[in-house]
Amino acid sequence: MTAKAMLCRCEDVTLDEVMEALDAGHHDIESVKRYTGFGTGWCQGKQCVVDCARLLAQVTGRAPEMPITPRPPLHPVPLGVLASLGGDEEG
Amino acid sequence: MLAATPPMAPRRILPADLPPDSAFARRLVAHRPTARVTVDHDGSPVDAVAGEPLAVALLGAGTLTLARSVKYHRPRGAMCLRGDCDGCLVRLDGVPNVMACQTPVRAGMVVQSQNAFPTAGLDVLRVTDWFFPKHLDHHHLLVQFGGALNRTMQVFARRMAGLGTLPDAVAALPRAELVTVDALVVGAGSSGVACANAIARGGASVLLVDEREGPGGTRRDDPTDDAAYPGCDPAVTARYGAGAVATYEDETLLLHDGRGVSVRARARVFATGCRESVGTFPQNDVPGVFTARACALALCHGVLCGERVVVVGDGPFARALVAALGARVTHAPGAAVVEALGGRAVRGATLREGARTWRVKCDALVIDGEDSAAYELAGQAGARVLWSDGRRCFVPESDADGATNYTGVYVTGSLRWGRRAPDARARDGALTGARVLRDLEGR
Amino acid sequence: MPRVVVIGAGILGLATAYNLAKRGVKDVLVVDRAYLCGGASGRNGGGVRAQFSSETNIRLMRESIEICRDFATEMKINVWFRQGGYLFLTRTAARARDLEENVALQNRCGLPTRMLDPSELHRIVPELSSEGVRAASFNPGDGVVFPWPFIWGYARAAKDLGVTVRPFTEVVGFETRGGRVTGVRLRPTRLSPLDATDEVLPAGDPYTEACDDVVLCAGAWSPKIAALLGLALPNKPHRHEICSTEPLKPWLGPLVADLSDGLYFSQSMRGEIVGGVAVEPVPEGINQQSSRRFLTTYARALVRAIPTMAGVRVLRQWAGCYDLTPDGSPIVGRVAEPSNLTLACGFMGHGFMMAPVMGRLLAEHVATGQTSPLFARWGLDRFARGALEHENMIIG
Repeated sequence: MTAKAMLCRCEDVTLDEVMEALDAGHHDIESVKRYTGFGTGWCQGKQCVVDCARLLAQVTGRAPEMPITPRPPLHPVPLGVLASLGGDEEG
Repeated sequence: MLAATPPMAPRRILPADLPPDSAFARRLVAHRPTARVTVDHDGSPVDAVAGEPLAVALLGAGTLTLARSVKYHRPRGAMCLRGDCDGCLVRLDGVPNVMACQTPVRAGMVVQSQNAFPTAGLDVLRVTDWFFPKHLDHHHLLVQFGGALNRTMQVFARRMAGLGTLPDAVAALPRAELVTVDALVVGAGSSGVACANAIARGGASVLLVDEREGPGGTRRDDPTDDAAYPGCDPAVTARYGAGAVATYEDETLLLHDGRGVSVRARARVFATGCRESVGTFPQNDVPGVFTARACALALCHGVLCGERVVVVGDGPFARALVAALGARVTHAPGAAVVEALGGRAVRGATLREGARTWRVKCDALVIDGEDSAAYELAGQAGARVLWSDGRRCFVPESDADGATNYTGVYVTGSLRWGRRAPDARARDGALTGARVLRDLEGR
Repeated sequence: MPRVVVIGAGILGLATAYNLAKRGVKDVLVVDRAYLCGGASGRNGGGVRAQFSSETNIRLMRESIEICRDFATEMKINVWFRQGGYLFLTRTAARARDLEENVALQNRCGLPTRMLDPSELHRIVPELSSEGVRAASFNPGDGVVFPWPFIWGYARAAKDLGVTVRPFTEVVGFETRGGRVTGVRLRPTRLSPLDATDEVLPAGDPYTEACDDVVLCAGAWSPKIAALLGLALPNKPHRHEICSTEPLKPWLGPLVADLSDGLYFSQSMRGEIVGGVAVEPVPEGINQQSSRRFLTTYARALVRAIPTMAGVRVLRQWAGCYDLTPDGSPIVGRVAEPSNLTLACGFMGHGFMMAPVMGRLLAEHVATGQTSPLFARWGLDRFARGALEHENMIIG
């Protein structure tokens, strides 16, 4: 049995991996996200951004000032629904 | 009468199985299930109640493992039951990556495991998890050998990637809807309803939306605080089952019963509340680890998350569960989880409180832990979102009334204050609503 | 040893710094206003193609594709380069003729690109609807990469050779003397609470780094920095948007690009469909915000092309800036004054894929003073001379 602590479930990013990213010099939350992939999976960080920020606060002594950029959509949306909402090409 | 029939499934209970004065029992009696139906899960029939969340039905049948994770094929199951994680992703009626917790049961549904061989319950591809006990560093995997071996690895990695396969059929485009209002309020919890009421009573047009099937927010899952749900003023247009999925400079998109709705509103109020997390510890993702809120939600549908439940934490949901589940529960209110035990499903945990560390056995580990503000929509709308040392999470910045730096964008309720009593949240909603009215008149 | 300051730690700046160090020019400082992978290098879809309309671009990209193929082995980091090909679609007779000309030119340059009849499309992408498609071209040697590891790979390798990479450092001025840059004025930064805008906030006092040479490869931010030297560049930043879907098992081989509406999409190594579309008018200026109009325009175009994707969900949309020049070709080479400034910007929406080979050429130029004919063709002065270099295979 392997006892991994999953920091980001959706991308299978372990706590160890985040610590290694910090050791490798990725100190800000955006760089940690890019290097480990946390927050880029199915839930887009809803579960893990805060957990990662709390970890950074604990390990580096300072929490990130801001989260990774909140981007649409909040939940996955089918392309067919989005296509139906287009049509006013004036924007 | 449902009470006269035998139990449907291993983890289903009846109101009579709970303490008679239990608020959960009252909720179960009040919301008696209407129709029993059958769904197919990987070839096996599952008894379910029409309209309940599919993930709850599967939990009721004793099925903990619903999915497998992307890289290590670790078993996953329902954890949050509110569409915020990846635990209950299944293939449903030929459509990949459906969140079972967000899907109401219908008779005849065909539910299949994804990304697993042969099924999510038993997946031979979990060998990756054993082979890389610490973690798999995909950045440097086989890169020292170069050339053909590295390229072969890449081909294999690509085959392993992805969760579901393309949908079986071409979906017809739904009909979209365009709505224009003075104010849009997202979230029909205590603060959202109070805010919408204030705006409506002030004469402005307001649309109140919530992704759940009715108002109440947190209180839908916590029946111990069953003072009547806040009622919407008749002048408020409310839509339920209508989640806000995206917001831009001047437009918000809702997903309402599978259709897209575009809302143009001069004011947008986000009363999106907070989110719960189980925290990060070894085996935190094993099936059987739940947030306390998820367990309460399941119990409201008459489904137990386990027979030997350990509840960690002392928030309102934890206390409600402990009161309802009686002998089934061990409560460790002041403890923290050191690790969960169990490779395929949770079978215990190591807890720590102060200097004391001890092990417990359980088939469900329920955690009422730190919550965090659900800031994403407010951030998409343009509000400044900043770390709060006090709440240890990110919070949209707002003034005393809930107005953010971005014109026309407001936040209210537990989103901006954290957990508070419902009447305090309602007062906050009314305060923000009054400010919205003043700003609408001024612009 | 000459002291080179490289402005911009995107793939072009880092590739240039790495190649300089390989040539023995190790006293190199690379600065960037924000975090690595923060600019276009971190926001693009990872496409790498040789199908262009100008011989210069075709030959350049043949070499770049070779570098991409060997990158993982040389730099010891996986970049997931997959040569699934690029499939270009056209819907008008005029564009079909352009495409045929381009393919013929590519063949003369040694590429195996071939024209396809619409009826052949289903063999390459069975899910693709050929309705309305007039003609198509396919080069199996084109491909996609995962962009971020290029940045980390170049940065790590450059640092191992002695280069200094300093993110969160913006250029606030220059010191000049006798028509040369003698120093670059820098200031530490931190991110502003809104990533979508151009804001970085000061986080320290300015200081000056002396230098002998400056390379300006700051993509969309280049004109703003050049203006600090009184140099007016004609390239303009334009927001372009992109999004990705839920991850599915592999099903799409090539990157598909429709030249009529700017739609492009490909399947990443994680299984997501990543793509974008042209949205007119494209607002000028640094803007990385997301819009509804992009998302719905993209959805309509993609569902038209692949009807079965109506049921596939979008997980995230984001944006970056294309760096657009009047003729579609980059601005590369030295300028009259300051004489020790080398420009490398204006790479439209295909700068990432060109950077591996451009990094070599720029390093050679800065280190040896050798001027490749490319630099003359792509020089800043071509606009004043009216010697424009047109490229018409633009995506997005």
